[in-house]
Amino acid sequence: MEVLQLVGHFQKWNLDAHFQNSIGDGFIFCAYSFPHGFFEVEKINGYNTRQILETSMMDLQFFAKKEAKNINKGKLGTYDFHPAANDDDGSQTNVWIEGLIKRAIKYQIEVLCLKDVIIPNYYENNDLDQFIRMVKILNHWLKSYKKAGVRYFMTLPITHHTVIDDNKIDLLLYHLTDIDIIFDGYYIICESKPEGIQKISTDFKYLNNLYTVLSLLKKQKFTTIYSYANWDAAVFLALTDIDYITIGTYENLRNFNIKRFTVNDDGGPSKGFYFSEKLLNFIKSPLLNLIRMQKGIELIRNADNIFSDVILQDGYPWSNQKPEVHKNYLLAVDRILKELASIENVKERTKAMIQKIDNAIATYHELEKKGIYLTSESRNYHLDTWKSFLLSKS
Amino acid sequence: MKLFEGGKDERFDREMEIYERYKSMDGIPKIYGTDEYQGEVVVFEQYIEGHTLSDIVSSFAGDNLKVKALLKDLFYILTPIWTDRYVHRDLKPENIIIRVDGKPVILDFGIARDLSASSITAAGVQPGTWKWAAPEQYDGRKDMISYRTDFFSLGIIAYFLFYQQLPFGHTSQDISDKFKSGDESFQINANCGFANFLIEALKFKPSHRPKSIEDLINLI
Repeated sequence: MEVLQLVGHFQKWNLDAHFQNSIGDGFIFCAYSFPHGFFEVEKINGYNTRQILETSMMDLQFFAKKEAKNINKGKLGTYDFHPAANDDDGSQTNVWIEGLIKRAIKYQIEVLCLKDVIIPNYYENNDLDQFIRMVKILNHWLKSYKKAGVRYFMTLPITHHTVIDDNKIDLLLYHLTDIDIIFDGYYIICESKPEGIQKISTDFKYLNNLYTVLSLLKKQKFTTIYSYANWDAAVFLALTDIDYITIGTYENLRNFNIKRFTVNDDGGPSKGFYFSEKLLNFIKSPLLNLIRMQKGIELIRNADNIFSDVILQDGYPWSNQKPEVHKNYLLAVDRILKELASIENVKERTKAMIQKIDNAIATYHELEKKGIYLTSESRNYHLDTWKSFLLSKS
Repeated sequence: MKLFEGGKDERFDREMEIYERYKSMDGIPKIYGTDEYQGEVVVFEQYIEGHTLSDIVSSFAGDNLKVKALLKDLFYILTPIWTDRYVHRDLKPENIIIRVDGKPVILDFGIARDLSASSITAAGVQPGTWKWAAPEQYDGRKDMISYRTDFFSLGIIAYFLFYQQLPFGHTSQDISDKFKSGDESFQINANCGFANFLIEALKFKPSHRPKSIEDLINLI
């Protein structure tokens, strides 16, 4: 398993985190934040562009047409082969979209010289048949176009309506695992729709069906890339091998307007969150004052994490715009995922994750003994669901 | 001699197309000619000397080597057919003849389907095939019929030969209920030398059965 950083704006944070602090194994650049021609420079933020691209993929985010209503505000329109560059006057045909996707593939190979290509794809109005038709058309085309030494990953955008519907998941998997399919793997994006302002979905159907998708595609020998993951990727990794997990910071990705990557606080911009490995959750920064007053900081502190050490200092000027806030998150999640992945036996890995969850539940209890009751999405709203789900599979 | 009542139709054409395409294979009977007589079609099919598998089922009981050898032979015959996007859809002991030299011949491609062509047969379980049919056939899910439907039938046949009974029930109602329950478990013991093949071939959902023919063969 490799961790890839999903890069949006403020890419310097990601590059520094990787090249200076060894966080993650590579990058996925999101076209929303990077215009056509962005990589035609020798260096980006002081790092050699070719060196960056050697461990990178490019997500051209065709699906973003659906995800974000203001998608045209990003850089997507600078790619003349992107649907966002073309007004949707209703006259677009499948042949037209097919042509755009082929150009997007060629762009990644011929212009960016990437060895790992994400084939963009999307569907609208939950029309799975349309999506499957396009997958088959592109698969057929790829049989003659495929270049040696290049891996091709088909984008699999799973809407919330689809992921909670067993029959739709069956139908998708039936076609995606057909003998005829020659893609090397799938780039999986799943809409989770957590309740309220929570970042993590506690819907069993979501957990179960996304697990089915990830495990089955892996079992059928496809390379799996679970993209736009939150730290709940650990739950899926505890049950099945995943080849790549992409994680991103909330600040990097919030412009996409994907709900679980946006933060809205009353009374001004968010001051940020502290991600605690010990709680397996975010703690809203104002709550840290309460925790400090009640002498509970050590209970939630991430060990051996220089960014955590900085932001947990008394008087730290919290802001969502500060890189160390987000690097703490990236480092902590990278570690959780790497630690789990290092356990080869999946049953043992599941046990290890359940132990982490038990420890986190116990830490919440310890905090309560100190009179610290975390609120809103900082409370424990997810751990019991995760534990039940993992136990149901073990 | 085989009689097609009602004369030539699409189904007849497809069966003949398959026989013609694979005529060089020993595992499929050869067609020597066809004729029409009083509105019916007469097909002169190669006579295969041997026993129908259904007549010699008991000789496979508990015999790992014999069941595995037969499975491998059947896979050898069917692999090019599956690769060309055909699916038999009606694999059962009655449709398999074991020659005198022990090698199988697969008969009756009458409801075979060309997955790249439009469908000409009804969805669902065909009469007389309920013992060997896959869950997608019980469900009438024509859109999910594929080479992996044949994988399932071969799994049932292999189990039946080894254990002399069916894995999921003894009536079509029992089997249908079991499929609907989603409970994929079946009785198996340590004596069975191809348990992993059975477990993978007999997954209820087609997508959960191996994608690759080779992967399934490797489990035998």
